[in-house]
Amino acid sequence: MARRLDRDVLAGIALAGLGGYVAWRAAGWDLLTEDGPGPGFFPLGYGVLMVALSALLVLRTLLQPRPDAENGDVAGHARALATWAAFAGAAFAMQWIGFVAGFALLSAVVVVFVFGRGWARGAAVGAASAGVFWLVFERLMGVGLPAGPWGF
Amino acid sequence: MKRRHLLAAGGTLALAGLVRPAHAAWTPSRPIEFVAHNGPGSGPDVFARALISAIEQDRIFSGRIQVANRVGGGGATAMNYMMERRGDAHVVGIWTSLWMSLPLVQAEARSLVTEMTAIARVAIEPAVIIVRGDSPYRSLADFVEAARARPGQVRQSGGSPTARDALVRQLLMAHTGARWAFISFPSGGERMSALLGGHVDMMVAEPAEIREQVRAGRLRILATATATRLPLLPDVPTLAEAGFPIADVIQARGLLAPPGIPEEAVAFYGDLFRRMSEGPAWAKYVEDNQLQSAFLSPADTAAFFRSYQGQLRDILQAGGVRVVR
Amino acid sequence: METLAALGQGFAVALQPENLLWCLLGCFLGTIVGVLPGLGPAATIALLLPLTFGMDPTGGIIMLAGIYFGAKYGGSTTSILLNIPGEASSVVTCLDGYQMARKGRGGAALGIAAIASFVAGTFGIVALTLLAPPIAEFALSFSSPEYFALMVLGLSLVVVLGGSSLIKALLALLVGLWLTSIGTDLFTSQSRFTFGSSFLLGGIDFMIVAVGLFAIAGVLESIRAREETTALPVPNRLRELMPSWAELKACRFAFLNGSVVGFIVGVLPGAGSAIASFIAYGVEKTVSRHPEKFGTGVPEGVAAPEGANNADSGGAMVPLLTLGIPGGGSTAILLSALIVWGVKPGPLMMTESPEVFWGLIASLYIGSVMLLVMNLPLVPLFAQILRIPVYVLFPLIFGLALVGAFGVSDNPMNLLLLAGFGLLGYVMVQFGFPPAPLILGFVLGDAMERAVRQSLTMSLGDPAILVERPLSAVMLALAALVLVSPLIGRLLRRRRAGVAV
Repeated sequence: MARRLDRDVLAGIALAGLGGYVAWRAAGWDLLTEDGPGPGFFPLGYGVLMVALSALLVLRTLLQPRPDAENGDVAGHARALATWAAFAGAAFAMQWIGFVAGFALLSAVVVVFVFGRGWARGAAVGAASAGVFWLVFERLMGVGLPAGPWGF
Repeated sequence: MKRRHLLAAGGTLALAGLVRPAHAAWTPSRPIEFVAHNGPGSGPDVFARALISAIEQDRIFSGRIQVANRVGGGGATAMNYMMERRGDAHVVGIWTSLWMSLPLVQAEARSLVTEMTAIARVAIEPAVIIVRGDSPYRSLADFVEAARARPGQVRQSGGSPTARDALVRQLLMAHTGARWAFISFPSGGERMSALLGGHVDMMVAEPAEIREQVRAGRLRILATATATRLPLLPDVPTLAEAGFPIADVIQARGLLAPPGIPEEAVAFYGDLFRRMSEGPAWAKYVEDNQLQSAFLSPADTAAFFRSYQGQLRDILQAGGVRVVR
Repeated sequence: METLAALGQGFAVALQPENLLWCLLGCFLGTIVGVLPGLGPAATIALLLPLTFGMDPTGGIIMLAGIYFGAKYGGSTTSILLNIPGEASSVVTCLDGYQMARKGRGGAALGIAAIASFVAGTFGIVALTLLAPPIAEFALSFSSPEYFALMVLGLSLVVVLGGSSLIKALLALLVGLWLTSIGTDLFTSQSRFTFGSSFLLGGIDFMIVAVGLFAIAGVLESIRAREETTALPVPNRLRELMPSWAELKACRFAFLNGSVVGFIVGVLPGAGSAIASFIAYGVEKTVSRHPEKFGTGVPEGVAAPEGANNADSGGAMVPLLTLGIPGGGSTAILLSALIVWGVKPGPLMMTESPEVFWGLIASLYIGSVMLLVMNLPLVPLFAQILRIPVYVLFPLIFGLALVGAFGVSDNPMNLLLLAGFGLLGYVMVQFGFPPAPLILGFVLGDAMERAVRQSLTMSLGDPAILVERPLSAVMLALAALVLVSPLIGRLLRRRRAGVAV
């Protein structure tokens, strides 16, 4: 391929796929019943519209190619996505290790790896913020946060 | 796992006046968790807290009981949780009729009350059939006649097709051959507004939610959808008395435990809720909310689950709702 | 006159020092708990309710009024400072509130939110005092076709909410409409797009979507762009922590707009305060002379939705007190609390127990004032939160988002959804899709679908019912006007530019 795929084209293709899926699923449900529109009526409409608008987006982009301003901020994306992975991982692990441990780890990782502030500060921020959250939400307000095997 | 929810602790119950059930060999060794399938302030949550408060006021049991709100899946999350806690006698689910109807119509809801351990039925919520105060329908027969004369143009406001109001409609339509429209609204407030605004003609409601409007003459009660007349509405005929002897669709609430808990624990809870339902605090709650106290023992509750599910399946199928189990 | 005398008596009771104290306590607790993301006003009131049960009825009801207002107000603080919507109706506040905070006007935004809440909240109570019975009849005249038209009017705001590309805004809207259809269909119990998971039967919680798309995605984008490396700017001088005169003047219309829109929408039992705040923001942007600046931190963008959110409080009391109908979660809990006190809201309340009715309304007035008195001094204090270095602040935002998700439900699925929507929000920003239209579709889609299906069942399938009723016709015409408004604006500007040349 000579030209790098434009982001709008990519988004258009993805959304057309989603719209197609939505429309296909919705078409399997009742569309019109004797009591008015059925459960499939609206999702079918959303799906078809999604496909149509995505096609429009793709066509418009292909017909009026504009320079893709973003020159691929690879390092930035890697940083953001790594942060996201840490967040998702910590959130998922909380059901076993508890909120306090999960949140302390997450905070430390963000401080150390994303902001490059060193291990000492990471540990301090992690411990302090998890401690404050535990005190405020678990002790003071009684929000039931998941507890780890060590009781908090 | 999480043990507590926001201020969920029902309060440590007073230690004084501890009465130990004579025959129960099992007693809780840690706080009991009441599982409500919706968030703070919702129907099941309020009911769970009312049970705890009745138990506390009448000093039925002195251990700690906490409410846990296991929200999600329209009730399925709480039901799945009960199945997952197999053998744990410290978890008690607050069931409603929804717990029986949900698995019938949703393939995804795989947890069945008939597979859990029945503990008790404690209350029945009666229902009344109401129209606007200035409605031309003075009796249920008038309403049915109008529906027969103008099929589809007479309307009822209600909730989901598996809720009690929809079932009463199915039974009445099957019995009379008349047909009228059913308009679904998500909240009771919207159903009532549609009726008061004259956009629908009839509604099946709980007595507590319409008391003031009836007193003000804005609503009129045509019949009670119960087997016997309600003590607070002695002049209102039952469906059968009004000439429509259809099956009684009960909307009930009660308690159950996970599958596989010890016999002794079942006996303990059965005894606990029997004594609660005989106490004055419970009687007051039932009267304030115009419920009917309707205790059933664990064995009878299990039988109730089976018969209710059978009845529900028949009505839903007759009404054209797709039943998956 | 009778009204005034009765209200005066209500004030005499509510102004006793002891009762003032209860009101203050209620406002304080309501605000504090309401600040928590994931705990909307309804849950906040439900959780604090037991505190009032041991009190005498008068004090209890007054404290309850304080909690009600505090809970409604609390959501804006995290929206403005941390881009975490505290509740559904504060999502729109994020759009301009957080941008103001990033420009060093966080204190000003908080101040404007407090003032807008007070002005519009008071407007709502005045309207409740003077017009409750006729307004209640108006609310009852709203049927499904009118709700449909209202939702279409709301959805038409996509053209003002979206960014540079209308196609992308519409696509985001459609994704929101699809997401809100996930779950069990109310009319047929058909499960839609649940992927075989029982968890999704109840649909996706709004807070999860909003916190993911705004808070999580916002942090990720800041980390990618390395926009802030130390801390957000916070002025040192107290005067600069408060709204300036110019900012308040810019909000004149927004206060009025928020008041009226919030009250009217609040009166309707089938429309929530999230809808009110979206419509108020949309109206504000449509009539604004500089619509292009919305979303970059204009004070009107905070004042209009926050005002609407609080005028809604007064509006929602109308059907509750005059008809005994709760319009939403918060009022449903208030209703059950009032019944515990022996107060019976309904058509007869005004005549049978005027002292309770007017006492309650008087305590609403006091709650509204109390909230302002309590919150304005706190503004400079809250604004200091932004002094926290970013490397600590960002983890704090993550933590609050997680606590909020646990407040919704303790199911681990919710955490995965939260992370998923965070990623979706990040990807959307990278591809130039605005998140606000998605939220708009998510809030309104369900209600619009319901209204259409209810209407067509009523009309036996004749779609004319949707347009032939006068109120709905007017609203649909307004929606059409909104849809073409950007075109008109462009034409006007072009002509003005032409004249200048």
